[in-house]
Amino acid sequence: MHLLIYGCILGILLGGVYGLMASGLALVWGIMRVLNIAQAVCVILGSYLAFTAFTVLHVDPMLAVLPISVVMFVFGVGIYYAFLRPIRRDRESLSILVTYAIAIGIEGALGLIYTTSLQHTGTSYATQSFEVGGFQIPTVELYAFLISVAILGLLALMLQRTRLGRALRAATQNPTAARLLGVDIDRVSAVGFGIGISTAAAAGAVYGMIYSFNPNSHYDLIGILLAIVVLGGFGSMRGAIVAALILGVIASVVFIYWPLWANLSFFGVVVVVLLFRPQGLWGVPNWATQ
Amino acid sequence: MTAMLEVRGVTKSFGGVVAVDHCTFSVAAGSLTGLIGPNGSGKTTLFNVITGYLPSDSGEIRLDGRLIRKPDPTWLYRQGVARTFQNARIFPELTLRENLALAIPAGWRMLLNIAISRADRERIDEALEIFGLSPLADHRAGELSYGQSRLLEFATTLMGRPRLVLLDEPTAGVNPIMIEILENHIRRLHETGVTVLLVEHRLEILMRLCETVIVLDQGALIAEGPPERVRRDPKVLDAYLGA
Amino acid sequence: MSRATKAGAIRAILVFALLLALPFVFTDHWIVNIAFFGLMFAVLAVAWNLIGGYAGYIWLGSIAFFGLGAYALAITFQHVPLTSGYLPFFALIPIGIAIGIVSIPLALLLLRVRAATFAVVSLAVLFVAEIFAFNLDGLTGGPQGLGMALPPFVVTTFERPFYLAMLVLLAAVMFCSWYLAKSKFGLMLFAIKGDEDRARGLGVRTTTVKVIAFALCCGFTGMAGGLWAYYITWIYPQFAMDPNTMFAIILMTYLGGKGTLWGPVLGAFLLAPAKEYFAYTLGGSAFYLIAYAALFLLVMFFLPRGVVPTVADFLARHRRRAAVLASGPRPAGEQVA
Ligand SMILES: Nc1ncnc2c1ncn2[C@@H]1O[C@H](COP(=O)(O)OP(=O)(O)OP(=O)(O)O)[C@@H](O)[C@H]1O
Ligand SMILES: [Mg+2]
Repeated sequence: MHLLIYGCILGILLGGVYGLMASGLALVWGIMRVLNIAQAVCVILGSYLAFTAFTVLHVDPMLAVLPISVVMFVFGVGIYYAFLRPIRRDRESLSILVTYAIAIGIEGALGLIYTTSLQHTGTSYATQSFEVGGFQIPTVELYAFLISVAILGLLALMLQRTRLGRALRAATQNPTAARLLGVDIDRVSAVGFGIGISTAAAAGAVYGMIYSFNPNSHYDLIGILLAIVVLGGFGSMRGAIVAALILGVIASVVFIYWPLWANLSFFGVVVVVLLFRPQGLWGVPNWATQ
Repeated sequence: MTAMLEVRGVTKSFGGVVAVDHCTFSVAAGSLTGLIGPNGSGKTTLFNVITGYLPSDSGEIRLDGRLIRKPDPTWLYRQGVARTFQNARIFPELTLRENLALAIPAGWRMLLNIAISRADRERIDEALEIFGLSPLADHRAGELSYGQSRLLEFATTLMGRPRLVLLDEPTAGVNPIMIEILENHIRRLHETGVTVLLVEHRLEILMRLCETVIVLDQGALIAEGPPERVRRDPKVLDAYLGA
Repeated sequence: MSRATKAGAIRAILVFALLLALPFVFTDHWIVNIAFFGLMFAVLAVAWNLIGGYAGYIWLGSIAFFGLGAYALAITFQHVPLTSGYLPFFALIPIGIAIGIVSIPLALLLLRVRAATFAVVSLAVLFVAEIFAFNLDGLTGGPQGLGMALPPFVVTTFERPFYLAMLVLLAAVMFCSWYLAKSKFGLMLFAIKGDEDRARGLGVRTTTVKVIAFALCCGFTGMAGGLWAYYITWIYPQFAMDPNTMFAIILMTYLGGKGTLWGPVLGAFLLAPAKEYFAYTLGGSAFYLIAYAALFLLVMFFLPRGVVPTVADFLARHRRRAAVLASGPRPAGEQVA
């Protein structure tokens, strides 16, 4: 029982970080029907940037989150204009292939710069933990969780309160109507994609303090992120966050009892979703019935 | 006359929008019934529910008095219920012949049969002839004009020898000559004994074609009867002027 | 037989005759080795094309069935002696059929969703298969890999039997692909790609059609995997179920022309040697990934429809122009679309 609760606590902490990664994926899908396979490699890219900032400039990853987000935002906008905007036909399917190519391109570039050996952002508090009610909580995981929640909070605030946020939401709900209301879908998409990438990288910065990573790690991660959006419902940020928490808890609990099979639990959930609710928790069924 | 299609208390809502609200009506076998209503009144949604494209929230649908528990488009088509869509759905990559061949129901032999068997070919040529599409038989359907694709969709729908055909605004966005052609085809279809449920905005066409008209407003059925009477119904006037 | 079919038959016979002659003309090991991989990717791409090209479903798990076939063969011949060495080739047939059947329940599950969701959950299949291959180490040897007995073939022409077996497999899968494209079934697959919901409303049993195409794809892919395992005799999970291989198959299909008969074969023959060459010279390193990504993007942006349809269009336009010029000025109102 004690172990189970402990698993849940760790799962929620980790789920928060996954939630940040996956919410960017959901946002991008919602706006432009692009499934960004490169989301995971951007997480790893964020981890490497934070790692470099830490080892070379001695900047704490938690401080580096902000500049990394900004840099990666610009990077994301650039990727949008270079590779995604030109896809006009058959965007849903082609974007999967194109973003996959981008992902392995970035993976290759990271391999060139950092080699393929495992790295880890070893901050002074990386191995610390503290006790709450008999549970040993690792300090980094708590920090990572708090930062993720803070960023998600800012994102939600931005979406609710600002003009840009309203444009983003309008584009998600009804692109045609949004265009009629004078929203520049193209620019909104670019910004949305930039935000998606920068959330990935921000999550990556903290992720690198918890886990070791190499350029290849994005394969493990993308499976998890995709399972999250399938459960949450494509294009639903709320769904992505809730699903990330659920899956984080399930995976942590499974990890305690059967460590080898923790990753499988993500896909077990996908099977259940397919059987009982193919559109996911907050998704809308795909009906083309006009 | 027996009812071919009975709709009882069918409701369908999307989130907060009640698109179809407790609709009850029936369509007599062999009749040509019109379905009208202002934009967004739920006509297409009703079609989608009847033909199994959308699950209804409540209510029941009967075909020949038999309750259809879970309507499924494929099954219904094979039972003789066919429909068209509001924005002519054809297969632009396939030729006209292939479009028509596809709609001829196939059994397990589909794996072995060539795409257009000889027997099918005759039926297809006949249909192309009737609809005046023969010269384009081997062109890709994507090359057709909008009016022509409406004709093709209509022709396709008939390849399964349906007993009940649901037409969703077949004349929308089509030039006047084509409207007349389509109108004649609908009339001919009706004369061969097929039951037709027709969504149509142009009242004059309904007046010419239909014995009965059903009026929807905001998902609810507000009037039913012969076209002349319905046209003077204050509730109907209200619905159209209010909208 | 119509003229088009006759021309097609002659083309097929010619290509297969050349392929048959290849290992007897060029006997260098490296050439036959590369040619073997060319054929293997051709089989994989043609099989993928059945569901990915004809039906338009981006199926990202097919390589899991490649791995399944590889492990099925390798595990079988842990217990069964190879005898003259030809037995595994025949064992591929029941393995292919079994894999096709096994894939049916999975197809029924996956095909509940479409488009991008399908792509995502199908990619999950690949990850799941990889996890099993790594973790069920009693069966698969886990990360240490699984070895088979060395095939008892003459060293000088070692690759030849494998090459010929793969050629037979290619002929089989291409016949299947050709036949489907000609059949009513193929028409239904094309319709599903075009507008699945409309096809449902025209009485097409879409689920059945998709499941059959899916099972065929998986069966052939599994057979190719089994043959591959026997050829390289030692399989590791990360090579038997490599996501890069998965996307390479798709890239080949796109390059050649998805949804066409010869496109996937052409794409495979163009890219598989390049893949082997780069893997050899760049050693599967970071450069290899970058080159691969660049090539991928080039194909996606500059040849999205693929070589075969582009060339066919060009020829058709050329021919039509020639015809128009030959027949003098064309009557007013007629269009050259
Ligand atoms: N898939 C859907 N999701 C959400 N709302 C929908 C959907 N389909 C229809 N609606 C809503 O249901 C209502 C009825 O729409 P419907 O298309 O059935 O009307 P209609 O009578 O066919 O109108 P029109 O004359 O414009 O074709 C509308 O308010 C529409 O916005
Ligand atoms: Mg409508």
